[in-house]
Amino acid sequence: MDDLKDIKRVIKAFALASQQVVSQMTKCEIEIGKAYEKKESSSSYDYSFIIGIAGGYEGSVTMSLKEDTAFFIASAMLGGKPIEKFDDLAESTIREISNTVVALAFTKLEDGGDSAVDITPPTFMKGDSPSSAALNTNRTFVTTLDTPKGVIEFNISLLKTGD
Amino acid sequence: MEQGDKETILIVDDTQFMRKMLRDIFEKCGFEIVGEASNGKEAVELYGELSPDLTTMDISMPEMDGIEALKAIIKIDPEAQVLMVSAMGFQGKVLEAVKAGAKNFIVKPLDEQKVIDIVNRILKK
Repeated sequence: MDDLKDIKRVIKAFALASQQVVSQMTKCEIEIGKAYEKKESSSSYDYSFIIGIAGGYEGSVTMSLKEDTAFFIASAMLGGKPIEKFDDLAESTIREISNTVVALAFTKLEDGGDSAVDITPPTFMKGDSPSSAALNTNRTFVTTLDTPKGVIEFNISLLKTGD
Repeated sequence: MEQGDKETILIVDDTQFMRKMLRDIFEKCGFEIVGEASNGKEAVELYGELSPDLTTMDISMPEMDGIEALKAIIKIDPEAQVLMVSAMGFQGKVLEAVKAGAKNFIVKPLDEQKVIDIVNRILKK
């Protein structure tokens, strides 16, 4: 993505989609945080979910968060159930959020005239989002959400291929 | 509703959380969950074994996606009632699912009441 108009549209789509999905699924007040181009990895997260994109855009989107934030989100999605370890059920709540955010963001972009995309199921990894070099894409843009228990970061590494 | 009168549902989604969420919604309304599948291949196998009254189907899944699973199920049973429940609400996907035989399409994140209303409409309760 090199066109400034495209970059702004994509960031806006992800910012709005992430806020809508996380607010709705947790029933908590979630604010849109910062947006910027990532030059180097400056934060350290505990969990990341990577989603591959193909079609009108190609590349990946990664959602990353710290363990405290993950526990808070999972607990809220499970009706307030206390979460003390990142087990399969907790992981699947965050997995579902990552998948739904990415799909909704691209639906917003499709509504705005972009081509549709195919989305892979999320791949879970411990730690931070892979670097742009590792993903072999040109640029990575970040949009964040501020939750009552920390930040959720979305790393968007995409090339536009379709009209 | 007496035992044996309950309508049966097969839930298909690769995410445990979604399967639990849908199970909770449907059981609260008196449906019987006869099976759960985490990918399309499993869904087709279970459909053949269980013949549920309704199947809910995600799209983005490993091994076999929901559209392919839907087509395979319709081939087994042209009268199959399949409700797509997916985050992928792209126009093309919705059309593809409906053309392949889905009875309806719900986009995530889910609205519980909407799910119930659509399921009741499909099952004509």
